[in-house]
Amino acid sequence: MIDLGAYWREVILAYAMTLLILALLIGWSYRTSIRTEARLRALERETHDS
Amino acid sequence: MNKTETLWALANPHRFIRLTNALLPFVWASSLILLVVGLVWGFAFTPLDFKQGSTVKIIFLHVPTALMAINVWLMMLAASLIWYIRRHHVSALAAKAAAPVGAMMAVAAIATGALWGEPMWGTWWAWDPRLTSFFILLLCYVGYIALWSTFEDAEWAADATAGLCLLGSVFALLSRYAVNFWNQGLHQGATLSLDPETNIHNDFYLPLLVSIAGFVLLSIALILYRTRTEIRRRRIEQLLAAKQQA
Repeated sequence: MIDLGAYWREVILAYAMTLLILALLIGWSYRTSIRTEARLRALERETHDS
Repeated sequence: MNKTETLWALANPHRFIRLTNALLPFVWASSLILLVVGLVWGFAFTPLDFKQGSTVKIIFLHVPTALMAINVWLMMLAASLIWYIRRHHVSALAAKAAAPVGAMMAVAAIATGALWGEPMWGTWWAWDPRLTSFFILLLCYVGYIALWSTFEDAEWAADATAGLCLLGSVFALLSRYAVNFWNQGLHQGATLSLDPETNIHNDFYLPLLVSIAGFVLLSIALILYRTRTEIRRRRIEQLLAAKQQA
């Protein structure tokens, strides 16, 4: 068992908050990338077809 | 091909995307491994500090995020200077892509600093030189992101944001070096030092180095990944403009 002493709330909150921020940043970047790539492919197909 | 030619070859969007296709899996994987090792080591396998207790474990988050918030801005400065001097669009887009990464690192550094400060200083926040210059750096990030979206013309936007980047660099450098020459305020001096007498103990130093390496690689991976998205977004704008003209 890890002993975090009297300040366990602060330590756990700091780790949880940072990991949440990193997860949001990675998730948002991934979502934007997928959407942009799909839109570009659709536009290129459209341009090629016409 | 010499090294200089290799660097400028990245100004070609197709070459940039090809190179990052090959690089990104390794950068993502190594950043994830180093982050997991560094953070688990720091959280679970380091002793409590005799004065600070378990709050010392926040160092493995606070120092790397603060370091990256400052270094990402300096990377944006280099990219902005390349844009001003050589007008390479990929460098301007890389600076644009890096801004949210640096901003989120700054938010994480301020949040973890506040959680560390409250039990140790008795306050969440103090307007001391390092904290104030760091807060202004965060505002510069927000302003930089907002400025990109205020211009319709991409070249105007790149010029204006590169100017703001030059201005904000003062605060990036100030928040890095404020503790060295501004001997007042609550924030402690530099954590890492080449002098073994003032450097932190190896029990904390080694996991901190691993954690810093993880955050550096994660930031690089995110910036490369987001720059590819910005290149594709620019291509969409060009295609839409061509479609409207036709």
